[in-house]
Amino acid sequence: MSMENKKLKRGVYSKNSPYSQQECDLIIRNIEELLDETLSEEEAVMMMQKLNECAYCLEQYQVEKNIRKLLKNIRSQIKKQEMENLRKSILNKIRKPDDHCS
Amino acid sequence: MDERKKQILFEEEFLPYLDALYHFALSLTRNKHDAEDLVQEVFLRAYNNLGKYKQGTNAKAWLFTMMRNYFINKYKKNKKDALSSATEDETNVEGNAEDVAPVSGALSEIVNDALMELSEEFRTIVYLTDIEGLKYEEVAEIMNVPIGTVRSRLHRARAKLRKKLERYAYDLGYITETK
Repeated sequence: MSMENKKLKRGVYSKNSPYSQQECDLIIRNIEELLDETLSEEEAVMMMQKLNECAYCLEQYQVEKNIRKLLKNIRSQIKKQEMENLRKSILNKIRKPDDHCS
Repeated sequence: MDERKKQILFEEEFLPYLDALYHFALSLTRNKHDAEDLVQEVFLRAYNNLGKYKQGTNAKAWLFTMMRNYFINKYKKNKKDALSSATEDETNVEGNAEDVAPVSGALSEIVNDALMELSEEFRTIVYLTDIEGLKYEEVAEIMNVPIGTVRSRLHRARAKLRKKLERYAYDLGYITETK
């Protein structure tokens, strides 16, 4: 799996946006729910439409999405060997409960 | 339940969550050594309390709840390490930079540090939802708070993380996954 990566510029509200700044703020507030998948299907489609129409909002969406990806990544950094040792240690204690209790 | 059946149940229903539990322990203790101790303690407690577990129910949530409760009630007291109160203010609990969970890769370290700098409650809520992928309902159960509280705390925790990580997130740009 390869990643295609286009850098973002720091987001500033643009007057070219079809939405007012207040509308953009409202859209941005809903990004969290969109990524959490707690919006209805209809709401999610509407949100994606709005995001695609406004570069500023889309950028905020991407930043939020990237942060979630960064967080997910830290999960895969633990070495397999460490986990295997821990697993063995727990199993040893379970299989010899007397040793643990003494 | 005889010992053999207990072992089978334990290995089939609980042990698959070792990885998840260890990561959660790292998030709670912010320290590899303590995390290993915590995981072993919780698995042993789970094994000894197998009778209280209803087979086929949410073993992961059961283990997470047990781990957090154990950490808060006993572990933290032993360590004489102040636990953040329900004030949810991160300023009273700061991570010890030398003691954070080990990860490789510079960016991963930055992300990990940012997470570890949050208060225990914020860290736990972000960990359970955004890293572990649990539902709000499950997080509410594990943390013993209403769903509305999970939502509002999560929102504030993410806002704090965003402040810390925003510039790295911009650097990543648009990522499209291709085969």
